[in-house]
Amino acid sequence: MFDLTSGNGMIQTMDRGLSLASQRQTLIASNLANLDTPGYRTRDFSFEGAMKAAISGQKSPTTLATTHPMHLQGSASASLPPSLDPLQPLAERNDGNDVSLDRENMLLARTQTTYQTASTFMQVELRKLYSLIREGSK
Amino acid sequence: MDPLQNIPSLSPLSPVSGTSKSGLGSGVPAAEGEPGFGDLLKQALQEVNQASAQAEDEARNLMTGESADMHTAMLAVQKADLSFQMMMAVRSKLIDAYREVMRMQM
Amino acid sequence: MSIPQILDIASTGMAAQRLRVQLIASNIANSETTRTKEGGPYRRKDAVFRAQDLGFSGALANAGVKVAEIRTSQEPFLTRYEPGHPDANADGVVSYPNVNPVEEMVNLTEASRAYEANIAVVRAAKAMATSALEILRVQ
Repeated sequence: MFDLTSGNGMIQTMDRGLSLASQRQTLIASNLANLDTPGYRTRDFSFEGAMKAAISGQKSPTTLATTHPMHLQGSASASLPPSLDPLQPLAERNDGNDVSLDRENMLLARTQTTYQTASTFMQVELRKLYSLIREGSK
Repeated sequence: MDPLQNIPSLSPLSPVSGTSKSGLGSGVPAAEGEPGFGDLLKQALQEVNQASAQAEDEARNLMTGESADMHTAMLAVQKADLSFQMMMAVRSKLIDAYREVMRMQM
Repeated sequence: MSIPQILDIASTGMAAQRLRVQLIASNIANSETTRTKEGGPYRRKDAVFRAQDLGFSGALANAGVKVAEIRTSQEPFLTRYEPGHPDANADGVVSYPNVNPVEEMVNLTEASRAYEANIAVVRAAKAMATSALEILRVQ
């Protein structure tokens, strides 16, 4: 009865967005740390796909499927979500490393913005709920 | 004129039974199948306590490194705070309504 | 999955690139060294990177990086005919380190770009942490 957040669509969606964004950011960190590691393959997953899956499965937030990061290029693992970004196959250098500095830098900035945006939306919604309580008790 | 009509309805709480002669304490007899007022309050308090305990857990896990998700702990704390403030608001309303009723019965 | 992990990963990246820069600096500084303590001309060094496991599970296994070894080049030395040189051999030929300064500068640029990228990751993580804290401040 007093649980105002578990059923709140905006808050649950943004919570999911924050989780996914920070997950993706960790993979990006790994890619950038391993920019020069021979044989290392870029790690990533479809953020948009995972968000869509989360939103459509919104009924019971606790059962949202977690996406498994995929390795770009070639071998697909069995746990790949069906809705994938059409990520371009990445060029491989002589040492077998396919991390693109430009791609990762771009994604780093984008993911950070996504995280901050989701956080802001959540803050706005929380502020609204606090207002409702204050107004309602006048 | 039923003095109890003047009590502002406190949704989502179910309205107090109009035929009751006792105050708004836990002695109010419930209609068949409906949770009593006291039960609702008890349930509400439990929820608030639970939310607060969970917030404490999340915060502790964040500090010990068990969980590294900051936003999860933040949200848990806000959820607990919201439910607490909601409870306080409802409590104020109840006290106001009770006083109103007591005034009228004199 | 989260901010402390991001920082851990980025710091391994910075450490590895920093070591690489030190090796490049050593190569450039010693590109004309014909006699070292071990005898013989300086041998070019480079860092061999390998993914490092930081204890995270799933897709974050081996998310960090480390310098697995510092490889000393076994490539043949460059030779120049300089009969008057103190380190010339019987034929008047001096062996010089197999260091190409231009190549080293290119590597240096790449290493510093990679280092900068890891710093950008740290900055992003800090911004995200600040953003998460803002959630707590709503009232």
